[in-house]
Amino acid sequence: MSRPLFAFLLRRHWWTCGLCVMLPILIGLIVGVIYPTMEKERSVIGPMLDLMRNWFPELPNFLRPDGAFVWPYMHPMTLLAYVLAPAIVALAQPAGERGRGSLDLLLATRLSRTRLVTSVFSFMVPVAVVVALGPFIGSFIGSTLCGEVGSVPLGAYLLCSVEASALSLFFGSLALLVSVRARDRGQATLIFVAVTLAWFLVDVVSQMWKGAPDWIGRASPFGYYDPLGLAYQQEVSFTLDLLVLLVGAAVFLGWAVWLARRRRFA
Amino acid sequence: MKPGSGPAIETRGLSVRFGDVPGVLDLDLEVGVGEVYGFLGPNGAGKSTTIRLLLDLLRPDSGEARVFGTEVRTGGARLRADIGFLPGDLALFPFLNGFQTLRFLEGLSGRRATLRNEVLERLHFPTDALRRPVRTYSTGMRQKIGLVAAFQHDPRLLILDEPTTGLDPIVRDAFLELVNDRRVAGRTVFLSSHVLDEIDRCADRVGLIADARLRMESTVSELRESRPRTVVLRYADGRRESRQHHGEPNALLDEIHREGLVDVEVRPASLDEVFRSVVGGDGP
Repeated sequence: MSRPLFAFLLRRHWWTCGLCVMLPILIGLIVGVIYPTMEKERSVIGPMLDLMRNWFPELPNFLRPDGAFVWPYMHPMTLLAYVLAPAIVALAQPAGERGRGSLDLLLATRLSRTRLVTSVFSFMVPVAVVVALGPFIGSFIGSTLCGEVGSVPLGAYLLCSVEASALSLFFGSLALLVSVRARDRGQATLIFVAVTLAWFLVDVVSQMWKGAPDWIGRASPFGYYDPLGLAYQQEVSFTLDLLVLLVGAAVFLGWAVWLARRRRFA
Repeated sequence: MKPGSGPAIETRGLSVRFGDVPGVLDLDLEVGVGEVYGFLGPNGAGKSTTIRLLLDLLRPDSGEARVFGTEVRTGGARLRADIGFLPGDLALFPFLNGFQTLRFLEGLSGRRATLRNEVLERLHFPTDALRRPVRTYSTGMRQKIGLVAAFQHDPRLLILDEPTTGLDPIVRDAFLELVNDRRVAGRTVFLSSHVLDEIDRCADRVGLIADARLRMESTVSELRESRPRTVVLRYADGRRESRQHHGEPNALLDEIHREGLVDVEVRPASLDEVFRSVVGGDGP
């Protein structure tokens, strides 16, 4: 881990990473503000939610505190934050530096190709953890705001954050692999977005298709992230899910290091 | 050879191709410790490719490159800590200011920036501009920051690709003095350029690359002597006669018509002429 590079990455990415953390906190706050109204108007909102559940069976029950405050974990913007926060870092280094010609300047120092890749990965680990803590903070503040903090399974939410950080790291490592391989940031971003979108679509299909085989959901990394199951304390394979995501991240990292060493061009 | 000893730079049969296009072919080069080596060549001749090979930023198809006796591919971080590098197409980090850029590159080099203030001063870099983001810098200021970054940790070997791009004549002179001072301090400088004047002024030896091959290697004075001198004769009636002469001066004296001769001017061949003759008129 290169300390100067860590400081450089922090200076460069604090704003985007900060935004990714703030998004789920903001969602939690909004849920905290509107929850009492939703509860009061349950006779109207209940049937609407039942109707929507026809298409999205995994929609949480917003009329229960444990369902409402799991929303910061499930909101599409939160998923986007998980995916983007570490990926932005990885796509900027090395692919971004290569594209704009500053990679030579970095690699002519003591920083080796391997060290560049492992340093970027090391930086992504706290980013993934902090981004995954965003929904927890949001849920905590939101539920405190409306006096429901006692009815919210904070322990289970914390497990959701652990799973979310593994998911975030998985996508960060994928971005790093693509970044090492690609010609520049443009190409790397294109490949990363295409792969992520494909997985996202697989996940949406597996959720909307009633009676879909289990393997379809498991074909996408999003299938290993189950905040609703954890929040409702259903029987979920938390350890296995976590393991799959972390092993995936480790494989991508190893592959990225191997590719970086073998690259003919820096 | 023991790692860490030997010539500052040594390449043997170094070749690289980009598809069908040759980058560098069969390059044999040796630069001694404490030497200023001028690496000349027209655009696209293979100068920057050679530099990238020396820094392991590009891997060769065949041959080997050694710096201080260590193979560049295996030398790793320790070897590169001994090198100060200025790329030809310098790209800095727009969100950092000048000072942060220098601190960042100092941190990556792993060596204290003992020469930073001196080089900043000698290159006439305004101190207050160090706190401005580099995206607001002019081309010349960016080049100065790149030069300071290369020199600041007093590396044993400086590899500078087109170092005077964008510099005004006063700063260019200051830079050439700086190179001479580094030579006196026992440092090695590998300077790639197509500006012949600056090579002429500071290099001990010159290598000339064209079409991916090293065409000529010599000291600057030998190189000049290898070419005919220009002799200009002026006569009392205002006539002016110019001729090329190579070889014994007596032969020239026998040849010239001395009646009415008032002045003889002998101009040694310029590096520019040598360059043009080697690259076939395709000079800078």
